[in-house]
Amino acid sequence: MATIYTYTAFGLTFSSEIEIPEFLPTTGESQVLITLGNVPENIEGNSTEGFRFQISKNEFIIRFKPWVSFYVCNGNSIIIQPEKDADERDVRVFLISSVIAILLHQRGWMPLHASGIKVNNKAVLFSANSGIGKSTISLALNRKFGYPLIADDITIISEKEGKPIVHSSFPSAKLWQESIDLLGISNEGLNYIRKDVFKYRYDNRPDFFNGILEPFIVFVLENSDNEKVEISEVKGIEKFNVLRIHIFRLRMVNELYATELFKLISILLNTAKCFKISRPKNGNTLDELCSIVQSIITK
Amino acid sequence: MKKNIVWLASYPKSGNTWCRIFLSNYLNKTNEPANINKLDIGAIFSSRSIIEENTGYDISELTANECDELRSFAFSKWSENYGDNAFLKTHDAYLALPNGENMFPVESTKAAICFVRNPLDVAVSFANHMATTPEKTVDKMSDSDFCLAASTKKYNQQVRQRLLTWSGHINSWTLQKDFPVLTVRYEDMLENPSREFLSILDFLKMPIDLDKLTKAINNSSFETIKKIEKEIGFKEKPAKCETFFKVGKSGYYKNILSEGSIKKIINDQTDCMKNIIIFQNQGN
Repeated sequence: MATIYTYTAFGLTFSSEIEIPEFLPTTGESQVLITLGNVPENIEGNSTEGFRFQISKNEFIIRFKPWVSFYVCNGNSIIIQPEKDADERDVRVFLISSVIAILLHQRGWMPLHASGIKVNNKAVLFSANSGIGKSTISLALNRKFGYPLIADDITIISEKEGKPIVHSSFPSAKLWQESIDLLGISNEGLNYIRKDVFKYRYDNRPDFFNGILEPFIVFVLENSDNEKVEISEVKGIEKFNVLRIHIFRLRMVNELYATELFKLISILLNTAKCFKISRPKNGNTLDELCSIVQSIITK
Repeated sequence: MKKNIVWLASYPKSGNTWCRIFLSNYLNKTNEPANINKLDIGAIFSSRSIIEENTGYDISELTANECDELRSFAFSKWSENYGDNAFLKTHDAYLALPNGENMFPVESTKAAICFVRNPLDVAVSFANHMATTPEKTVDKMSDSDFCLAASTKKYNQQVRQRLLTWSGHINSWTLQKDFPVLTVRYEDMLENPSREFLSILDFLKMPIDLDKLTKAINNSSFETIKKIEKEIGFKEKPAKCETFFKVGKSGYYKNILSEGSIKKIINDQTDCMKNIIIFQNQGN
């Protein structure tokens, strides 16, 4: 009989037939089953197609050729079909990002493309497109001021009794060598996220908070052509728009969960402040960014 | 599916950006020079954000070859938002994927314009662009494995672009049979911009307005865009490069290139140089 691993991540308990060392082990009853098996050829009934994926409200099939295919359904089940010669990292990297993100959408939750830290029992999030420095700033603030990491790439927003809650994800971050250098971390002993993708997997345990927090501030990071770091508070409809575009895998789900996402963004924005930070695309502004963020969160 | 993509294809520093600025000015409704940092006429085929936005994938999880597999789908979808001409700049050689499938969205393609420039001048200008020596640049122009945005160690706004050699690049575009291609020489654009830009408009069956043509040529002249770059900067300039629009002249290589570099280029690129009749202008 196959070994079953039990983990906690994204506010859920996963029971998995594959080992996911990036997640925290736990015990107890699982809400999501991850099994090895055959992925169906197609979704039956109405679905839309994207590049090597099909999606409907409750089902999702994606094929990362030539390594692995996934089938996600009903927000509680993931079937993995690895191909011959698939490296386990090639399987996991997609599982713990796009695939689980769609599962979270299916549950009516909002995966935000954001890293995060815990500040005075509240969540401070850094939302941005890839490559802007979400992971780097969270880890820099963790190092400078001791704020525990709560997420690296995906932060989950859901609702409890009409109020927004933030679920932590898991303790590992994905870092380019450039970020490793900026943070003064050694890359010795670190693995690449995939065998042929040279971005490092960095585990921040034990400095990680696992649990639920009230949202405090969302910083939206952007690169700019300006020479200085600029910060401004975002209000009104712009606040809604800047957050909406950072919903994780929005381009895959499109309008499928529009109602759920609209509600979650709305209640999140009723509670959390939002600031936009534009930083020069060239040059090292990490210390300046950390000082600016620290001054706002301790005000 | 629309068939509206127009490739603005070239080896770097061969007049591609100049043409994009011209087109932006030609299509611009005002008489003021277009903002070179907001050339609203299309995109670049290596844009990471367009690939991610139109596929939903996170490219930083993929290898360069896997990214290439997304490009045809992504840009075909992207082009649906445009009218008759969706201009796409590219420095990629016209190559297929390793499995033989198209990397370029051929079904969505209307035509291509391929800009070519004397490789001796390209070497000088490209060396400035990459903030390296002309000798190293000349070597890269003979390297069939040469790529732009090739680093696998850091985040890049653009995906990897395979250029092949200078000759390989030009041949890949000018000899392909998938769609019509107009070859435009940089030297001819310098000598008679009206004639060359008119030929581009004509080739693309774009409405011709001679007043607009004159305005666009003036607003995209080398002196004008160099002045604009000095005033407001140019976001497409690499960080290490001092100025994007530096000399722009033909034959400038004579002041810069060593005899050895000239010989190497002529030796390595002879056939292609002959084909585009640049070779004869050098008196060889």
